[in-house]
Amino acid sequence: MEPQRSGRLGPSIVIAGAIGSALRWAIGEVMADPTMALLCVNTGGSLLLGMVLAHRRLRRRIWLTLGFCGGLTTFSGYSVLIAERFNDHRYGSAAGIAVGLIAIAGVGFLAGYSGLRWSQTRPRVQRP
Amino acid sequence: MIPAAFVVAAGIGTGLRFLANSALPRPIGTLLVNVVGSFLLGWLTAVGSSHHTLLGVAGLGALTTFSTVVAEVVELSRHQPRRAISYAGLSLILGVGAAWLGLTLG
Repeated sequence: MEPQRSGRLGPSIVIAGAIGSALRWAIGEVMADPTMALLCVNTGGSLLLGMVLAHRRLRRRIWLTLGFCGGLTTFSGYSVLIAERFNDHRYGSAAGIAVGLIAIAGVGFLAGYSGLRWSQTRPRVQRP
Repeated sequence: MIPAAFVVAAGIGTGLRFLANSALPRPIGTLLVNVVGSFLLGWLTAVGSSHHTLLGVAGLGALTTFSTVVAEVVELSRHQPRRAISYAGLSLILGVGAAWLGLTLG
């Protein structure tokens, strides 16, 4: 799943990252609950990354993997959300978010990866 | 908020993450940007900056990544399951620890 690296791809990665970030901001504005917004962008971005990495041609598109999916998802928002719960002595909530978000995003990634692989390898039915 | 400034800040964050991933071996680059970004966002949140959307959501949000962490953990778990668990645990502990430190110092 290692994407190809190239220094000449810089501008396209930066632009794709900015578009992904803008989409993350828009989702955060629409959804009132920051935890649900974080769950939405991180799971959606992980699912999309899984699909892209399973695709024979798209997996080499760094602007899509490192740029768009990387910009759409965020780890700092996740860390601060947990740390704030921790500071408020809401340890159960902090642990639930910490484990829950990463587990759901992991399932999303595997679903995207396996789903696309399955659709690419299943035998096609020939029409008469 | 000026949309152009948001795009520039997000572009800088993405560019820095790309540089870290290119310069450092996987998954060290991702771990580094995530820990540094978590600390800075924690500090920015505690300070209560009026530029939170620009610097926090755009810049630091784009600097850090969640999907790459998930992909790297899944990739490592195929051949090095212990390393995958260590990486996931280290990302969580160092990331949340850095965010907590930022919130405390800010």
